[in-house]
Amino acid sequence: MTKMASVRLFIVMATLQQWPLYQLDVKNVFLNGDLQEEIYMEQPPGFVA
Amino acid sequence: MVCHLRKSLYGLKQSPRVWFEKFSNVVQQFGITRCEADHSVFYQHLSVGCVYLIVYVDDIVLTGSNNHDISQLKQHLCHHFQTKDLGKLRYFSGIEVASPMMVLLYLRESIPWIFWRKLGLMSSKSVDTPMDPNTKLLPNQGGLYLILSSIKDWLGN
Repeated sequence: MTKMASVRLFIVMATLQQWPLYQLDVKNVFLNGDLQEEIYMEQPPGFVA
Repeated sequence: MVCHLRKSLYGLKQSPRVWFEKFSNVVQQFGITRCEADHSVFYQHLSVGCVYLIVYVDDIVLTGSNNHDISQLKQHLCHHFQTKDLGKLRYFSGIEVASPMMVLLYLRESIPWIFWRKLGLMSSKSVDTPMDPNTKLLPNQGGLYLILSSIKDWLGN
């Protein structure tokens, strides 16, 4: 969990140094993780592959 | 039919953790270090400059002393994840960045007092950050906080 104090420090530091601040967004973020545990699920009803 | 999941899906309790683990590994492959005090902050200090990154779930903010290093890190991330480049930082984790000067106003407590004395704002009141989300800012309401040119002069110092 990101700490608010870190966010503020981050932005202030960049501003004082006159560094550019850029933003990126990751799409479908939770589809990226590789599972380490065995997880099984039933096919959702109505799903057609 | 029962499926054995290889990758995470939305709705799994494991999803946030495995995402962060993956992200952390990819970022560290770039040669950037994870901050011990706050694991969502990453940094790289080199003799030629430095790069900083902060992540909140799928939102990433980057900064650094030179644009070239920042773009290389961006490219590295684009190569490993589907990303959308949102350009200059506008909004992150409850803080709206209208311009660098607005950030200075919001974050009065963090700014060296000499700056406030220079601008003659030593008696001004501080506000909590992030701002109250319900505050309505209207164009014709209240006075101008600061004279733009004096801030420009200061930033140019």
